[in-house]
Amino acid sequence: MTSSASVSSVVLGIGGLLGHDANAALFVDGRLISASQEERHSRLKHDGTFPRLAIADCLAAAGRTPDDVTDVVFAEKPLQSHLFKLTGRAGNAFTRGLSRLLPERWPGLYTQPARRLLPNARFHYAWHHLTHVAGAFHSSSFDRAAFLCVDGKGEDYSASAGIIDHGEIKLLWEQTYENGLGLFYTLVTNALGFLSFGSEYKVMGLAPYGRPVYLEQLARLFSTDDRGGFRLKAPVRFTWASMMAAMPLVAEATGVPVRGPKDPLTDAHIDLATSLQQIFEDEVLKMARFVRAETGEANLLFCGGCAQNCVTAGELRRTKLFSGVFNSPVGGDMGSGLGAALLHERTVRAGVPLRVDFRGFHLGSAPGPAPAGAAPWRVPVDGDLFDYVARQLADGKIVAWGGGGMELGARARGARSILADARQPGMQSRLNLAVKFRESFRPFAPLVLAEDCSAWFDTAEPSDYMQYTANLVESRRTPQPAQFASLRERLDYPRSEIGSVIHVDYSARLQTIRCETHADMHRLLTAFKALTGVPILINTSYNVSGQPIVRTAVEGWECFLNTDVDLLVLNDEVYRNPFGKTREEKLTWLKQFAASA
Amino acid sequence: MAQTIRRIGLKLVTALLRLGVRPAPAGWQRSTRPPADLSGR
Repeated sequence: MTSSASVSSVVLGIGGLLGHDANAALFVDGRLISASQEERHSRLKHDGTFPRLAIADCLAAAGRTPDDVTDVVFAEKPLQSHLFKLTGRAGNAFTRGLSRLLPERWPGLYTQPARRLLPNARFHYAWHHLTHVAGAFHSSSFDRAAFLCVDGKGEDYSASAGIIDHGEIKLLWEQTYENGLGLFYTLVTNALGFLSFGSEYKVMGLAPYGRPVYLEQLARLFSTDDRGGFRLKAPVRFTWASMMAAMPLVAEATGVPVRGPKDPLTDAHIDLATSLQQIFEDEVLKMARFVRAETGEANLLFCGGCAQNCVTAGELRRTKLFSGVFNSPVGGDMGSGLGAALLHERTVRAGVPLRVDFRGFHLGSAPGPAPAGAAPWRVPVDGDLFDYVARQLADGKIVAWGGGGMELGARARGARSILADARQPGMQSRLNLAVKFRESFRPFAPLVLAEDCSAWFDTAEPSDYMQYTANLVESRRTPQPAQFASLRERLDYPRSEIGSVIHVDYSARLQTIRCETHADMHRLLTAFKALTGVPILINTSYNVSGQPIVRTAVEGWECFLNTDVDLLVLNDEVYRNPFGKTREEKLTWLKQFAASA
Repeated sequence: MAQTIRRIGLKLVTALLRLGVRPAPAGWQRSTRPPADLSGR
């Protein structure tokens, strides 16, 4: 352990005060050492409790103790949030003044544990949206950019816009109150029966299957203007009770009954998802045009929870409104601790450019050694590991891959991934139903060699973190019939040579792989391309529905045993699945994650 | 008893705060938040 005396600054960013996706990030003397999400340790998806385990993980990575922490930065101003909750009104200079008068301990539900754990630290509080902005800016290549933060909720606002460079942040505009575009998306998501937290991406995935026939009906629920000013007419709040009470409003406006989580998806529900996504895209594009006109900036950072809508992010790029568009690798709150710490670092190191490179998003723990029980199932590999795995994938095998630092953020990007051949017929259904145990309509995302991207998709721009969708080039599309008898038939229709990663509208959520960012995945894709001519693989997170992505080798092995994954590559060693579990045993194991599925 | 006093006190504070903070209109508003301020809660 390094001596504390030799270190001048140990800065811990803590996110998740808003009640979900608690996380921590640690800088030592201005260098990012580690970032981690509480759910990966506690094994509770979207865990929003005080991130004690994530903090411990970060400190262990740096060889530090809690006593060494000099500064803590929270990714929210808790008193402003509390006052908004009390009064139902957005804050102003008056409430900000109060924050200096009221005792430090009020309210302290979240900050008190930090004060007890980190006795020597100074405490700071960042505006929530600006943590998203800083996270996006410092992981982009821009030196200056406009930002558009569209979120579920900050302290008392739903969207903000301004300009950022390495020296200054100008917060120019905001939409006050929480009942904005993000809450609207969540409300309709709930009315569609996707009740678990963070299910909005499922609705985004469902949207291409339907028609936007409920635009006018949904528009009765909100007011909007041509600048993307958006507010729900009903005073809905981000609380469970408020959401439940408001769901009938959606049914009343559209005539589509509220769906229970286990009810079948009807055409009307699918059309409602399509309409919601259409409204969302239109409103974000209006906001982006407003930001372009107001700031005159050439580059845009799209951030906040709503920036995880990769379809809209892709659309923003295609409009060419801005020369460059970048959205955060950790658009949701899981990166807010990192953003908070970045805000502190940029303040104390004014003007010195800070960059969080690709490695910065793989700074969690390594998986550790394989459990002893795995040894009999180890497969000796003669020759090159990547050639071997590429051959297995080309033969239709499903491969789990674990190694190196855990990813930060919602997406697996090759450190804890399940990989498969996108050319195999029926692979999408096989993965959804026998490996992930989730809805069959859910699309999968491709890993693509960056150098071959434009030969397959209508973009050559990097998407290192799966932030955008792109469309398959026309020449590789197989025309689809105008009508299908069922969702299943549409799903299974061979839309292209790589049908399993191409959505029904020919879009795909890309992760482009460059040698300098992910050498292992680059070698694997190169080997696979040499064998098949296709530089593309399916990449999905190493978990089952409702389970946080696996972190340790032990968790990975347990998940492997309970799914139909054929091979596991763990720390560059290959294991085959004993397939020793019955379907009943697997389903019993799966039940522990049902509440978050 | 203490709880009742606390509840009444909180209601009073809330009412006072509401007097000090007017409802904001919908749409984009000029922001007055001090972005660099990490000290205020």
